[in-house]
Amino acid sequence: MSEYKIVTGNYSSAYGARLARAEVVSAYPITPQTSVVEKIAEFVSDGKMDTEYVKVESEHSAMAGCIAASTTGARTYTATSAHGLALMHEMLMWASRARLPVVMTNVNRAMGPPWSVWADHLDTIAQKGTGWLQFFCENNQEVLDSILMAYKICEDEDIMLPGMIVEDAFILSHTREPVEIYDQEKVDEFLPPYDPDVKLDIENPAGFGSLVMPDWYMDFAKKLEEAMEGAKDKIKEVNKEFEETFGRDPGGLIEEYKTDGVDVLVITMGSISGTSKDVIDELRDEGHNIGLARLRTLRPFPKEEIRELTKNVNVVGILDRSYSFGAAGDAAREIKEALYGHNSPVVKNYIVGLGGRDLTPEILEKIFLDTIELQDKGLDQEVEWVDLRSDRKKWRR
Amino acid sequence: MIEVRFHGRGGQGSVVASELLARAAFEEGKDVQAFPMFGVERRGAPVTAFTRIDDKKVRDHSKIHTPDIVIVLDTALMEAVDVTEGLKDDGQMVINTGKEPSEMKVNTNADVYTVDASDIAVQHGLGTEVAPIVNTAILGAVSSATGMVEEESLIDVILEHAPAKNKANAEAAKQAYEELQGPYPGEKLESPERTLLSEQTDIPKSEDLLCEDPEDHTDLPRTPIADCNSEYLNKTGSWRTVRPIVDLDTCISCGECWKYCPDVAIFVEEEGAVVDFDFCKGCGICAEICPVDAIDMEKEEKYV
Repeated sequence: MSEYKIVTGNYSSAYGARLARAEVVSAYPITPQTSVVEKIAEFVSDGKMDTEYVKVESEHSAMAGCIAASTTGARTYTATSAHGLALMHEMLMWASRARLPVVMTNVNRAMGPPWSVWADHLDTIAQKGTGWLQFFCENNQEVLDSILMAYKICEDEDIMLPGMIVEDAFILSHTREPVEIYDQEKVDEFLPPYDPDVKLDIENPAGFGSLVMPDWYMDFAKKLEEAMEGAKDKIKEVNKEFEETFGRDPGGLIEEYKTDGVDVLVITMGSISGTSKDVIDELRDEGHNIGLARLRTLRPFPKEEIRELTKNVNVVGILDRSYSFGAAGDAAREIKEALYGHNSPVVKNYIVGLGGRDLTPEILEKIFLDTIELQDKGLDQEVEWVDLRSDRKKWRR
Repeated sequence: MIEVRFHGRGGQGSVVASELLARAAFEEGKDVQAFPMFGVERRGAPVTAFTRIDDKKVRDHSKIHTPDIVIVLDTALMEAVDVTEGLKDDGQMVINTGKEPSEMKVNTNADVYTVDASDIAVQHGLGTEVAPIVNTAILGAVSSATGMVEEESLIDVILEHAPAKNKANAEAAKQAYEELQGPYPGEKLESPERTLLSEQTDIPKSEDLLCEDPEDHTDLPRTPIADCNSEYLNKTGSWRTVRPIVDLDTCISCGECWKYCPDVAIFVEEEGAVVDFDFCKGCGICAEICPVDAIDMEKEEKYV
């Protein structure tokens, strides 16, 4: 029987790994991820999860452990955050290029210094080119749902890529919400055991990760990109299947919230999306023709969906909880790139909430009103940093 | 939507209280959220926890700035933090104290209630007199004061989900439900006579270390450079719930307390052991270690 538990995003991750029957968990603790692996360790020691739990000495080794186990055909899981993810960088690329469907949770946290343990997307976004699928979650239910979906998508023989489930530090990781913990049998039907066609097998020895000459390397890279492109349809397909099985739509590639026929569209990622939806409702009640799209997968990037969504809108406001130094927010850059040669709405990028700075309904309302005003006043600046200490009067009542 | 803020100290169970309250409301068909202040928790340090309750889906993931209800698990905290901050005028405040609501000088227009949750907790064997675990008792009082959750759902949830001593916790909640005092209409003062300990001492706000004008960031350094003396500036004595009282006639100036004090907050002077209350967190190790039992731990409330 499925049951509702009131759990943190981190426990939701742990329940996700347990329901998915991850066979090997190789992990190293880091704030604010620690309670994910603590909970899994508890499940394992209580005999509630049949998993080889490998304690390692660093995040680099944690991913190396997942890669080795995944190569043998085991379903693997790990979790990390910020500096831990950065330390994994080399191994992240190994996992994707070895075409191993490792699934992990990354608890989004700011990179130091200044030392910070709070929400910020830069850690994840800095890894966007490594060949991992990235799912940004709005709430704790979606964390669990995305883990189950990610295994199904990533382990598909046409995809065979690793996937990262992303939850915002503290805002999800340490906040308790009701989460439906599904019936194990139902999950087993949805997600059969992992059984790859090729694996490391001592009965049939083979070499993995071997050298290729320059006239071959590029073709392997192209195959990876084809899998990434193919993941778009696979995500939509699995999303539909998930909804049919569990009665819940995690949001596919991009979630559309009251976007039909809008003049103004705002695009968000992660946990600010829920607060934003409340604000959108208020603004619509006041007569503003505004809607919201939530970018759920940064990788693969849903170019076609973005073009479709922005076909008839006048202005687009894009909220980035990170910044790519020397340029702009990454979601904004990628969305603009997708629009080029297709649609040309006015686009403004808002940099918000770095290092866990709170995004209240009041500040979000000011941002969205600013976007609405762009229709009349035109673009004032391409990128605006919101609620800086020197600028609070503009964003607060 | 009802937004609740709990003020307690690490170890008193405020975070568990915020969760139990959420669970009780969820059992009544509400949607809920419970979260701690997003910081670095330490036993004894001030802790803030929050609960959101609504009839519809709770999608808001921002922090709670203007609570409807404030719950204070430890009155000594009221010297260190402004527990009334943002509390709505038509809100409610429930305080754990042996005093009457009218005796509490709280700077708020909200209704004030009190309950001696510490005494009730001790009666039911929850924690010790020095460190009672008051979270379930206070929830009983909150249910009685605000009606935001029914007593019955609260008791069911405590019986099922309290981390330990479920029956005793449920009994404590029931007793507190009955023994609640109030409401007493609070009155906000134009200029509050009391200043907070944090304002009296020169505890630096983190931004003060970084720039002259915290409202303007033009003089921020390239990267944060903190003052090495922060451990002297941060008066951790405000975390104390009990304080060591030395009987100088009994003290033999042996220095054992000084050796064991983890905060170097007790010294042997000519007259005997002297406590530095700016930094003593009230852990009670000195009283435990004293070979002649010259140190007693007494409730901080008596001294503030």
